[in-house]
Amino acid sequence: MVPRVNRSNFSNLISKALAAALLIAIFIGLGIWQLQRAADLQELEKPVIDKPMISLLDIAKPGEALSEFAPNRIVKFSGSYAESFIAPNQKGIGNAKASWEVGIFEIPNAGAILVAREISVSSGARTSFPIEQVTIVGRLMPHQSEDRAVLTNNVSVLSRLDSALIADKTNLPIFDGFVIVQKEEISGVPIKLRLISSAPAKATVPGYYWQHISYVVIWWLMAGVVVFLPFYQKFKKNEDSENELGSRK
Amino acid sequence: MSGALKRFRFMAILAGVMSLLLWFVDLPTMYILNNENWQSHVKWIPIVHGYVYPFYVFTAIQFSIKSRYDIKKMIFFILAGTLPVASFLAERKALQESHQK
Repeated sequence: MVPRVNRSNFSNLISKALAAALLIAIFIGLGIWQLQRAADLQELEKPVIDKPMISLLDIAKPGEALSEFAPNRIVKFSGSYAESFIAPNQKGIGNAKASWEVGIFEIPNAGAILVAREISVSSGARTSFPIEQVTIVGRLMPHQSEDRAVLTNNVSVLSRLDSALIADKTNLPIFDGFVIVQKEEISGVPIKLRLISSAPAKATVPGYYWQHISYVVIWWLMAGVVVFLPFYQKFKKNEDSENELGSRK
Repeated sequence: MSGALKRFRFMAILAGVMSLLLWFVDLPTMYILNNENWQSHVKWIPIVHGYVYPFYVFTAIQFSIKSRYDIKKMIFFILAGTLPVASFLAERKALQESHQK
């Protein structure tokens, strides 16, 4: 009879120890995760230094997702515009919302890519896209995944800059992502454009550095509390039994 | 006892006010209202809330030990700081029980 009680006590103790160890591991893990987010935020605040310009065809392939090294690279390519669109609710001057003039740009014997050419005029007729052979230098950006505008039947409106939306508009294979024009030339002559800010795209981590550090403190403090509680429980039991003995006397 | 109770009450009220600000001012501003100017005005809230809570936990542990509370009650007092109204309830409960003693 006695060994059975001991075994049950032992298994009870082991299960409590395992639960405590699991909780401690979870809390420490959450602390490490928050520490990583704080480090990511600090990394994102550092200025991005542009690498040398590269040919688009050397860094991206049509029909394939952009590699991790491709976004934000300054690329150069030549070809001609095939079709033009308006992309509403994009970033304009001073972070105000503005529409962008966007074109499908066909690179002969290679593929097609979306090119954000310039900020649209706020009033009056849209500027026309050149029909000649054009050379473009611009920043390669990852495709947008959230719609900026409500989907309409208007064929000349692009709700987001995503190659998936233009798949039926060109016979050429399409590059992932899009390019924000920094310089456009026709036969070596630069074209004057209302350039879109081509600041590098940054991954975002919600929150602030010191906020994440405070969460590290909280999670690790919780791990400390889990370590402390069994000792407190033991202390409390001893104290209660001493009080009980004292009251019996 | 009185010092631990005072510290706990102060931190419970502060944690409660910070939780209310976090849940009903900061989170709606950050995730519902798309206004960068407003967001810059409320960015101190989650940071201050994040540092207030550990101090609240310390005062809750100290108060629970001094009051000889059992482990379940101590956990209740620790977790009360995470919800906007719970820390106010914990503060009232602590005051009530200290008067009874």
